[in-house]
Amino acid sequence: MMSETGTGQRALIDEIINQDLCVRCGACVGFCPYFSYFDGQVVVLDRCQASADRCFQVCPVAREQGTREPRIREGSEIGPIERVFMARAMNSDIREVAQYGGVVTALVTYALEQGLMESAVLTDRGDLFSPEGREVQDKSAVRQFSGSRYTASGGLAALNRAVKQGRRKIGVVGLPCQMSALAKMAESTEDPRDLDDRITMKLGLFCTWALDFRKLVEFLKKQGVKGPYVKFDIPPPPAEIFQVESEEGWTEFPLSEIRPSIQKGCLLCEDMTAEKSDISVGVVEGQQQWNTVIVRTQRGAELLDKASQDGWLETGPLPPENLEHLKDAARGKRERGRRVRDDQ
Amino acid sequence: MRRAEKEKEEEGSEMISDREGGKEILLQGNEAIARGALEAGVAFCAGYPGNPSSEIIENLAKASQRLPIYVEWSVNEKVALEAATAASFAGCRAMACMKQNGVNVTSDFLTNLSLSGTKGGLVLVSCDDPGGISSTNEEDARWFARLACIPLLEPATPREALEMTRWAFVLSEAIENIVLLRSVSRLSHTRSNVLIRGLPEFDVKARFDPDIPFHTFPVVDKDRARHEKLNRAAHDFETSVFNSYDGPENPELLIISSGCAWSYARESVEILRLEERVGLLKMGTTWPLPQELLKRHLRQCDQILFVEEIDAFLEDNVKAFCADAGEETGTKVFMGRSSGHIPLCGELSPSILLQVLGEHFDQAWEQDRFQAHVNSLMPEDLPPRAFGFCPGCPHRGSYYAIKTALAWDNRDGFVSGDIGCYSLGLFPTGFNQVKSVHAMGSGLGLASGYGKLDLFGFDQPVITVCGDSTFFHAGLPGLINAKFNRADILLLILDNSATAMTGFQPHPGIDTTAMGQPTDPVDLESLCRSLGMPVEVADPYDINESARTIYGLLKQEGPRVLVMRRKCALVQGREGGFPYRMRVDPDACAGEECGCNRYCTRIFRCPGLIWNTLSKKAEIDSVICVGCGICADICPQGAIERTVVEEE
Repeated sequence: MMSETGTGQRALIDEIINQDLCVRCGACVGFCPYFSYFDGQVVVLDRCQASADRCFQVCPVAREQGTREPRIREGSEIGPIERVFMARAMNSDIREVAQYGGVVTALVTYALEQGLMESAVLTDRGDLFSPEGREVQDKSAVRQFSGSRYTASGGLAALNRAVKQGRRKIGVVGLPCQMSALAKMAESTEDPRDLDDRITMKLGLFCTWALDFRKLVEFLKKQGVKGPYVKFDIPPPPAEIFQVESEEGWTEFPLSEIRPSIQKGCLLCEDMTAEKSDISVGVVEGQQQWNTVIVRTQRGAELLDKASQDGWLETGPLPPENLEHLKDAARGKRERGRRVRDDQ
Repeated sequence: MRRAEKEKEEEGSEMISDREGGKEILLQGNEAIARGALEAGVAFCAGYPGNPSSEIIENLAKASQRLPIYVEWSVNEKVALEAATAASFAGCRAMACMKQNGVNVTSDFLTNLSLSGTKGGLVLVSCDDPGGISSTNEEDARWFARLACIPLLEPATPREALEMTRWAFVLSEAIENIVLLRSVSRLSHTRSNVLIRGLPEFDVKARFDPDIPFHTFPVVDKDRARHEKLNRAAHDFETSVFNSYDGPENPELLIISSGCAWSYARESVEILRLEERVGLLKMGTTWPLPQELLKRHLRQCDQILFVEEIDAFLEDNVKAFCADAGEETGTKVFMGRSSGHIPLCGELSPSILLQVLGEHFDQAWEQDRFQAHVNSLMPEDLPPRAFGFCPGCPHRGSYYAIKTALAWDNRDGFVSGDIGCYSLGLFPTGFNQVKSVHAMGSGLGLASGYGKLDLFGFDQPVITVCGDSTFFHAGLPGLINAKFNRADILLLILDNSATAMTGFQPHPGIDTTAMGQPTDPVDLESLCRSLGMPVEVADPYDINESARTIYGLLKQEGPRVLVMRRKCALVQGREGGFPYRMRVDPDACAGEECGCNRYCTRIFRCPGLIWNTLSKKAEIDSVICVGCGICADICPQGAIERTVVEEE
């Protein structure tokens, strides 16, 4: 069925890209030749003039009219839950390179080693240009992709390319918007691929917002911090700072100076914990060496159990106050998203 | 058929260096000009290629293999005329050849040269392009004869082109000044039988006499002398065989005509059987006007129609003359471009004149029948043809990379274009990337200006593209200007190692001269690096890497150069061709489906790719495809396969 808003890519261009609402998830990139992700931007290379509008159907920012729940349900702040706990990689080398407990790096490495995944779609650290999505098949390469980016990466373009290569058993690590996009791809009437068959594991990352890479670089340049940038970090509250590691070492900025570089589309987002994933992973406040883990599906639980049994993960209970705090934060993001969207 | 044509061509060029005369040979207008120069004993010929003039120097270059003459492709037209003038100053006969735009380039030298005067016969040939068929403008170079105060000759047929060229050297030596000979496309490229004479001995000795300097001082005295020279030419023109009248004693209408347009007028008069009513004055010497001759003919008739290519040159000059000579010639009704009888713009044709004369004499010329005949010769399903790069053309890859990089950059960047095949970047074949095209080198000059507009809030990136030959011709000053004035400018030199558009003439970046002698090419990269700017090189066939390189350069500041290097596809073809055999896998081709929608035939548009309307799949046109392999990189499905051709 065709969307009311227009044909082909027109709706996506008019309603999302030209409104600067694109969150650079990469879902529309790599399937057709008309979009491209490069150096932090999704751009239109050519006009497709087709009647089909897969690109609009899979966009996580685009919302179908009338599908929204009227109010936020109590207990639904962090989405479906099979189990919630905290965990960390047993391997200290992994924890060394990871932002926090290294759970995602450990799970992906383990799944590749066990053949549970044929390949994983991850986000690189960027070199001359912004971070971008990569397909990784070599388990020993996974740790090069560890750590948080805080900027968008067009990562799903790498998924679209991997599917074109005929890959099966793909694991995807991504932000909440990317997990939503995967769900939309599976539902899309215009997407001919059997993605449910091909994607074996969706690992979602908690996200408050992501930065517009080019705006961030422009800001850093103005502040005299030259690239290439090795690492970004936002320490947990109440630090309220943004740290950047470049060749000249670490530099700090108050978070308020960075906020203008937040992607406009992120402010519409209501999902902090990647509710459409199999397993969601994030920080544990006050415990830098651990991750919060939300297992949402049966297959997520199976992977996690195997990895624990085989000694790849160490788990423990998430302190109740941390869970409450997480729910507060998630509710906060959902309320902000609704407000901003309603104000539009 | 192609081979037969080529042999015929080569035969023609051999014939023009035949020392024997007294026979008729089939010559193209430009070959006739070359032969005329040889019959005059020309020693030194220089030019810059440009349609419709290029064959003159090309043929003379071939003749230089057998005759003791010097021929060069110069870096630009101004230098060509200057180099030829040196030969004239040293007592040799010399010629410079170019298209109308080239005369603009020479003009600063030309208007000074005509003050200093010349010694050995010196002829400037301009081949104008009515209708701008292969030009960026429709320009009448004859005005330069008035501007520079020099004689102007306009041949109408190949035979006359030969004779007039030969005589132009005589005239130049008689008045000691340069002579302008003006051809147009239809004359330059038409062929007819021409009577040739024998060639002289070519035993000239070049020597500059230090006692006779050439300069423009004192300016007013030199200007006075220049006018006197022109008067001497006018005197000779009164009895010139190149002016002739055909028609009754007292015609109802007098057509004053010159060049090719004269033959259209004659044909029209004949078709309408107006020979007894219309007089046809053919003017071969059109500046200065032979006034007495004109007076005689103007007295014959009060209705005057001017028929000439491009501008109202004769028309305006004759009208001005009539204002002076009105008492003797009487009051006239003038018809031509000012009156609206002749279209203000575009090339003339017999059918236009049939229309004009038919209306004037209230006589139908069966236009409908003529048009019906034309239509019957055209198949109904003839597809519309757009401008397009050749299959395998590196420019397609360059513009694809530019398009991608500018889209990635996402700041409304655009391309300041220049003159060459790559001017087609204006059109879909170049993805409409080029947003301005004017004169040789102007793309760089404009870019150096955009590069300073940041002061006024300008924040769009600008890429300027320029061919290798164009860069040497007039691009370098723009780049130096950008360097000196610290302008942000990204120059892409589209180096296809040839002056491709005009027929692969060598230029300073090539290791062979016009005469086929080895030379040291000028190294583009070293030249640009010596200006103190970063220079990178990319391969236009590697579209993805090229796009990344361009994007990276867009992020930098100051003047910077990227050489997009890949030989012209036609040159590569001559050197043994391309390594790939291409095929579209019909099972993989997504056709009109979401995810493709005919990307290769609708967007990429290489003529080697065709859309099969029945199977709804893309295919390779194996007749047209040259096997460059680029399209395999643009197919979203990977359906276009390239395999290496096995050596046979």
